[in-house]
Amino acid sequence: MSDPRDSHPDAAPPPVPTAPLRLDQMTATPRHDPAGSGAGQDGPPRPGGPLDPLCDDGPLDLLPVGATLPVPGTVLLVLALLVMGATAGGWLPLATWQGAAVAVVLGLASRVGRPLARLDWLVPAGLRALEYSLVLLLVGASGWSFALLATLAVRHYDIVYRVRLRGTAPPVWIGAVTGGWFGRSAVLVAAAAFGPVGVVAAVMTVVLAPVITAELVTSWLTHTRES
Amino acid sequence: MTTTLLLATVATAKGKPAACLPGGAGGDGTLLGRLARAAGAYGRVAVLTRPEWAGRVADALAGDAEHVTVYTASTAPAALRTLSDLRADDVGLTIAQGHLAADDAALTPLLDGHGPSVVLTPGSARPLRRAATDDGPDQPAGSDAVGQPGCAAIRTVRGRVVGASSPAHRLARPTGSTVGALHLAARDAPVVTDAVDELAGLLEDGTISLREGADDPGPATDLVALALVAAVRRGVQVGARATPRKGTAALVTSTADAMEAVRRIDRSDEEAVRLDDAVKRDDGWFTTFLVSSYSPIVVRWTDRVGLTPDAVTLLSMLIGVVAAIAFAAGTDAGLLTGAIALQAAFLFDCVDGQLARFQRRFTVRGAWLDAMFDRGKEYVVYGGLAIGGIQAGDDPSIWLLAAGALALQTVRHTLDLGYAAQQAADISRSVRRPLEDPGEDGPSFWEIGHAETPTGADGDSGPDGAGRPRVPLRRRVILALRRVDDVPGLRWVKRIVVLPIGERFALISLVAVLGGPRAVFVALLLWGGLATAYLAAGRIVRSML
Repeated sequence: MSDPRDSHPDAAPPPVPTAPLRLDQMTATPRHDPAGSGAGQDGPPRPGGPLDPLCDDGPLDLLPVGATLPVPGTVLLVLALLVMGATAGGWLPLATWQGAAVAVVLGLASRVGRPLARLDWLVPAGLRALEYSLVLLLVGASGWSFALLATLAVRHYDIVYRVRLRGTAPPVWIGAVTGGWFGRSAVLVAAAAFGPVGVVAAVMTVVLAPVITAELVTSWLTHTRES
Repeated sequence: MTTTLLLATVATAKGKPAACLPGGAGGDGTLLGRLARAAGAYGRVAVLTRPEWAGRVADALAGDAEHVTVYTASTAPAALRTLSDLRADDVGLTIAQGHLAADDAALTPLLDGHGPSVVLTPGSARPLRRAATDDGPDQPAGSDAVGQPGCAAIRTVRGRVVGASSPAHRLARPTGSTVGALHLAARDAPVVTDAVDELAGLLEDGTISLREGADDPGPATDLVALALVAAVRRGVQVGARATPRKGTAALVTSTADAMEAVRRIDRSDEEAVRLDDAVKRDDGWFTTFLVSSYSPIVVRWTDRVGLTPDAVTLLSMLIGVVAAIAFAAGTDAGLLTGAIALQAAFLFDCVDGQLARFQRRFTVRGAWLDAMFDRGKEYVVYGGLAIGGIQAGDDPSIWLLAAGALALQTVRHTLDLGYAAQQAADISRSVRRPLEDPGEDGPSFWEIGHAETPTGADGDSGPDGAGRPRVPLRRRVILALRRVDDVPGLRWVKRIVVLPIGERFALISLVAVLGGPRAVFVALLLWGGLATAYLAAGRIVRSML
């Protein structure tokens, strides 16, 4: 079940191939990494690299694109967050949904940026901040923004704890079905462009919550009692 | 099922096997017999001894344990190969010195084997954290124990063993020692047995040699230390587990010491020791002083009543939901009820972990349930408070505050996890080095994550300037920040500032009663935001230096 990209290039190959993925095996990035020397892995390393399960990229995971831009991904992500903040503060001459769209595109670019060894541990948190602030910005002061964030929080915490406790990330299909941070954000931005963002958020919540909960519960029910 | 290998190779001053010293209850039986009986309850037991002692060892075991396999070895490589030939059972492999006098509370965590690989260290009153950052050699508390046959010196960073000494490897700047007991989790055991096999080969070749002197370079070679070094250098994550504060674990090599240890063990109340050990000592301030001070009583009660840790977790969540419903009413009475219920929920939340440690009933599912319900309780309470606010006439912007608080918490937790993963990976990279490298074992605190990675495969020796950091500025800054810890009480202030879960729940309860729902969210956002910024800034600075 472990993602081939999780193998760290300059470490010895895992001696027990069937060992579950451990927290310390989820390295941020290879340290001396001149523009994607991810030789030996499937696909070039990404910022957040083997912390990928935490990044919840969803369908993006299925694309074999890795580090292609010369700019560090983490820097682009910080830029995305700044744009989001500026949009929230109304300092950009753009409509709210347009500012959010720019931020999301920057976020997407960050996923194909160069890895940055020292600070890539910030990437999952940055993506979380990006997506959650987007929901707050676009959906606004309604019970549905809380409900949607709570639903997403269930998924994101489950990823974290499943990896930490069982060593396996949730299966790729659930990531694809729930859209990943990019898919969900794109849907909300599109909805905001045309108007009915509140309704779309409500629909997303009502659709995603049972799917996420069902996968989570069945996964844990089938897991053997002792580790 | 854990396979246990007991080593009966060390001699007393009189030349007899130390493992055959009196060790049973009241002085009957032997230390070895006691250990074999304890280990036998968890799986296969094997004993390794010198050929000339085989008969004596078999006699010592006859009364206490059947179905124990006795192996003999007359040279160090042979002893190592015996170890590497043992197949770990499905839970793990434990190696312990036969002359270890320990009570059940200290032993069972190593024998029942659920959990990661650990090495047993002597209990110490104060953790030796600062030793890892100071220059020069440090004498760890209890270092007089080092030099006892069977005791290895170790260096730990953040509770993980990054270096150990053995008869074939030197260790500089130790921060602790072991009491000769090592447990390897099932997934780590094959790695270690492979490495031990390689060590045996290196010894036979003459590539490495055993130190003359304290250790008899023969069958009495400290296998536990060698296995530990092998494990650490292969990147296995080995934790250092301290003997419970009121418990006993000591290596004894004389009859007087053995009798003393047995007296101590017989006198102690095993349940009390386990209970004391079950309470975590490194929790937040609120948890440690205002909850864990009386939670042992509740733990005992839930144990007597027959609740399982999972049941307590569910109970805690239920009470949390009750608190949320009370908050959602929006009335003052509702807020008060909710605040009290929230504290009760938190109490049981602490108790479920302590009960699991007390009963030694760990399940991965239980840990997951505990973690998910922790978050669930908190966010359900946020929702309840927001609804209560609306009921009391507040405007819908309170939802924005509630959702913002939820988002902030999630981002903060993700930061925590990302950083922890980065650190663990840094340590893992730094500890790997070749088995034949005899000296200065283990990276220093400064080298982790920042020095050149030793290239294991090529057989390069350790990091350049053993211990000299590449960037002096970094060491100066970090040492300066650490000196802040010396101010009395400031350590606790730092722990409170970061707003861990106990402080958060206390904040919610207090502010809900005093200020209402909106004030709760404002407080959470302000204090939480400060805490997150403080933590993130500190970690970013440390990563970049």
